[in-house]
Amino acid sequence: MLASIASEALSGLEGKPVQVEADVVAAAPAFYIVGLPDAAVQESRERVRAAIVNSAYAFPSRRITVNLAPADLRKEGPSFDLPIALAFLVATGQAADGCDGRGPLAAVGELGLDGTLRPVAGALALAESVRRRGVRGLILPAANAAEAALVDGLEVYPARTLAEAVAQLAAGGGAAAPPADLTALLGSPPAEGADFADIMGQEQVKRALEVAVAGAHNVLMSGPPGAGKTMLARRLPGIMPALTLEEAIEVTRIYSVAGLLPQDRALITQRPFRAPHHTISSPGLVGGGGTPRPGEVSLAHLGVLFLDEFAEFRLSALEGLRQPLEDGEVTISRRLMSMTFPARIMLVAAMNPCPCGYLGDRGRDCTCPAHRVRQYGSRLSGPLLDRIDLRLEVPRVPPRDRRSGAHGEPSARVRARVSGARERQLARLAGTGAYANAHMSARHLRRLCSLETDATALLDRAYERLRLSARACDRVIKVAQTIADLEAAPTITSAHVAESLSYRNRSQHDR
Amino acid sequence: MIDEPYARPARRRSLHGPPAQRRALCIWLGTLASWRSGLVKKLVRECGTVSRVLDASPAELAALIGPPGVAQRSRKVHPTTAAQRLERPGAQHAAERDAEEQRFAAALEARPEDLARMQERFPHSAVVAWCDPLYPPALRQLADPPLCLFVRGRCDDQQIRRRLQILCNVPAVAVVGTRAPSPYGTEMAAALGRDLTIQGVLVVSGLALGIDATAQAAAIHAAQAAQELATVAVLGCGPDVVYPHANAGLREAVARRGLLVSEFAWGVPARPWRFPARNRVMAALSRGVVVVEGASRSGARITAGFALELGREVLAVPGEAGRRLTEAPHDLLRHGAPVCESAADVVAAIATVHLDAEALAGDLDATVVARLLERGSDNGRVSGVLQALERGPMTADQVAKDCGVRVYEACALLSELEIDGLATLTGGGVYRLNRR
Amino acid sequence: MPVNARQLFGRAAEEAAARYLIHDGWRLLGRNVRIGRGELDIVARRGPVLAFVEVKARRTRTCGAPEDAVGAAKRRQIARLAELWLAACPWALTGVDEVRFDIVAVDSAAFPSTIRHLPAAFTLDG
Repeated sequence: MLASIASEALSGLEGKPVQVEADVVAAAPAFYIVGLPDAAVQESRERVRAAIVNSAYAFPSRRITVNLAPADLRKEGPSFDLPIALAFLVATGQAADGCDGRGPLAAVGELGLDGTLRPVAGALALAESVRRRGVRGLILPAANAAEAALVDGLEVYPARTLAEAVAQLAAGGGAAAPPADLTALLGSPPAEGADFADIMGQEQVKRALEVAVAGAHNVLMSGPPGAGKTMLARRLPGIMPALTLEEAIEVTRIYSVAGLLPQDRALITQRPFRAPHHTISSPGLVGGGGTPRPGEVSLAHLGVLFLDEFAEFRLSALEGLRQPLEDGEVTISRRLMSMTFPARIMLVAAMNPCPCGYLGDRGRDCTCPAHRVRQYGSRLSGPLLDRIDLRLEVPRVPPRDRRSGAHGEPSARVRARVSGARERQLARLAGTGAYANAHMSARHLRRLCSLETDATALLDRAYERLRLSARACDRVIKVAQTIADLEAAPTITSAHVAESLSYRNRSQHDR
Repeated sequence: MIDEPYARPARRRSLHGPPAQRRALCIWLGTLASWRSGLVKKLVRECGTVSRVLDASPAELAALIGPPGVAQRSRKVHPTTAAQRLERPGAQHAAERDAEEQRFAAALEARPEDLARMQERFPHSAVVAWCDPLYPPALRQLADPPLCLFVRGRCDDQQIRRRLQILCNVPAVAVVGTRAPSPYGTEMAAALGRDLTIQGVLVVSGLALGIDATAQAAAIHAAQAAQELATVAVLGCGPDVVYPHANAGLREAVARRGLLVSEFAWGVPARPWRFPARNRVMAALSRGVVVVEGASRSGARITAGFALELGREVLAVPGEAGRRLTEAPHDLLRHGAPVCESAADVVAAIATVHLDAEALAGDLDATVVARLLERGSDNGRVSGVLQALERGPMTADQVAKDCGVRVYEACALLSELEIDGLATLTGGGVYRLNRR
Repeated sequence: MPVNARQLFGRAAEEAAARYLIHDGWRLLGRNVRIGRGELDIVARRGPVLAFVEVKARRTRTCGAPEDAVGAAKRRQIARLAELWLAACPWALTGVDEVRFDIVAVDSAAFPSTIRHLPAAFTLDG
């Protein structure tokens, strides 16, 4: 007997439609799965067999052939357990498909040997694909129901065991999960964390970081050990603006595919903050593996990627950052396919100016020989540094300055300003596909940023006197636009341009 | 602190104690350092910078220095040359070390001021402390600079001061090599000494036998009467000690027409472990070092090593393949040192040495002054920032606090000053005014 | 014709297994069915179930239990032979719902011998 259940295969960040067909005939008993299954899918046979028997169904000795169509798409992972089991049960007459007339239902899920349904990775992406192809509903493990409920207009039927799934199928969809309350989810308060006010002094650096976060500009902090670079970076999540709905769904999709979605929350509402150790390899940072998986840059999509001890990272890993910083996405190519993951990050890098760390420090002398200083600086030349919008010196604050300064502003107030600036940017950039000033292309720049006459004059003078490149000029304008947004100013004034120039990326030789 | 190399010494504002006291401290420490090697390095490591060392009181320093009397094991900073190792067997070494410890103890007991006054009494000589304006700025680049230089010249004090002034301003090149050169090496050394002096480059060397002596003699010979400073010899012993004996005549000539410079105090004898220290001073004083001839582990190689660490140019004179004396220069050539066939090569090499950013800043021109005035009339903020920077270099945070403006306003104003060429951002986020 | 004690013992075990199955309600369709170079011990039918039975007998435990003697290669061989037999005798499948591979183990290590029937002991794919 023949039975067929709709399902989905995860490919990168998308689902691809799959039809699970089961054919059961009386012949020498065997269980074959065809359709380019990988090892985990082949192991489905054991899981399905045990789950069916332990759920008090029969597993008669027949020849069973399961086809996962289309036959030229690689199928991976254990999520086909449930549709295979359902198709087998329908084909042997032990379950009924009650969907006629209302349209078919799709099913995904991993089965335990006792028949319980386990969650699958990427449920959000699979649910979106089901919706896209016009299927009305999805039967899936209860643990994934919250994610799938984020998809608008999809009937979600959670099941905890195989028996429940059979019941859902027989009823053509039984008890549906309620659609997610998006406003409630997004409105959840930000997590408590370390506060900006903990840091005494360093007002210039704090101001620069505020500007950077408001416009998602890339930052390089340079300074001696103990100056507080790591401390400042770790407090960035407290001032980052909240995610919009589209942004939240993008980030949730990536985390769902990576299997990192926390159990109790369906939607990720905080901007990601990733801080990999400097021993990370290139596939770990950028993504890769036999079946490409998202790397740290993708996990930091629309958030901050903090690289502490920037000069200690492997060159191969740093080279891989070029594409994400340029295009906002990462393409990983394999022999049979290539996958693109989004990676629109704000890069925050911290490094020492020289191997001993004290070059330029007023209190201690640098003990490095001249050629080693040159060597250290040259590791990060060229295209990577070209992507840095703000370059900050973070000096050590002498004790008397630290003591005399009043407590800084609390993170909440800074965050309010940053959120305001971000809203103005979104309004201006609507329709361009960019979320923040840092992502504006040159064309957007000309069209959307308006400078006052004295601002243009100052910029021209700076171009000549400071020997800026055209690209550097563009960066200066973008940062100036963010500064203007922080003040809610309609145009960019010369004060904004001047402040932006003070954060510009200078090379070592300008000292 | 790494100050500007090759530019005029800054007005030194000493924050603690009158200048004379700091000077005395320099001389006292310099004397102590002559008897015990590595002392300055240790003090700088403990206190952070040389300034901080001089800010400490003598009692604190005495505590840091430690008690005398322990015969120090010979701590080799760099391997001494084969020739030097053969000269002194081990037991004699230890006995000499003990004798030196006694001199060290005596110096430790004395008060800095007394010691300073005593040193001043030697004729035809001068003592230049680290904090003096005539201290060669190039030496400040060392992490453990000589805290004072004992200088000797057979001329009056005025002339000594003039010669020191020239040493601070004129580009210098060190010509070093083996004590037993071949005739070819001697010829090259003489040619270099002569031609460099004619071109106005100062020849610096160690007054050793062989290449050093030849180069210096040629420099003296070629120096015209108008040139005050013909050559500078950096000694590995006190300025009154004659070593090597064979060069006594040359030494007199250098004293008459040039300067004898040493970081070691009066009466300090020449010992093998002092020569590497002297080599580093030679390398630091020069813009470049030329190695004429030398064996593979010779003193000349050590000097070249110091020069590379300090970022100076190193050139090598090629010679006949396979000879022992061409080992050092050919090794340097293999590692990429430029070839030196004449003084022209040397001049070309040192002319590309990085110039100081401040030298490029230029004077304030009329248009800038005008713009400054007109802006000053709009709001007093720019002039406020200028005044703050006049008081000393500061970070943007400090400027903001000083002028009572928000930090981002301070950043904007400092930026404008940078564009107008009035200020520069240096290391550690510190802005400073460009001098005229 | 059996010529030695081992063959005698094997023959006796097969006889015992056949009698056991008949007693259990099975109708034997074939015994020692030769196909090519291989042999199927027993082919039997009971109701909608068609079973290919492999008989294994052991006198001692030194070589392990009789069930374990049916290794992967042997199983594959049996499965292959069964496919061939079904292809040659398609009439055997009329009214058949299930096709199984069974093992009947005759254990003579202790007295009296025990016969164990393991239904659906293995499938075509291992």
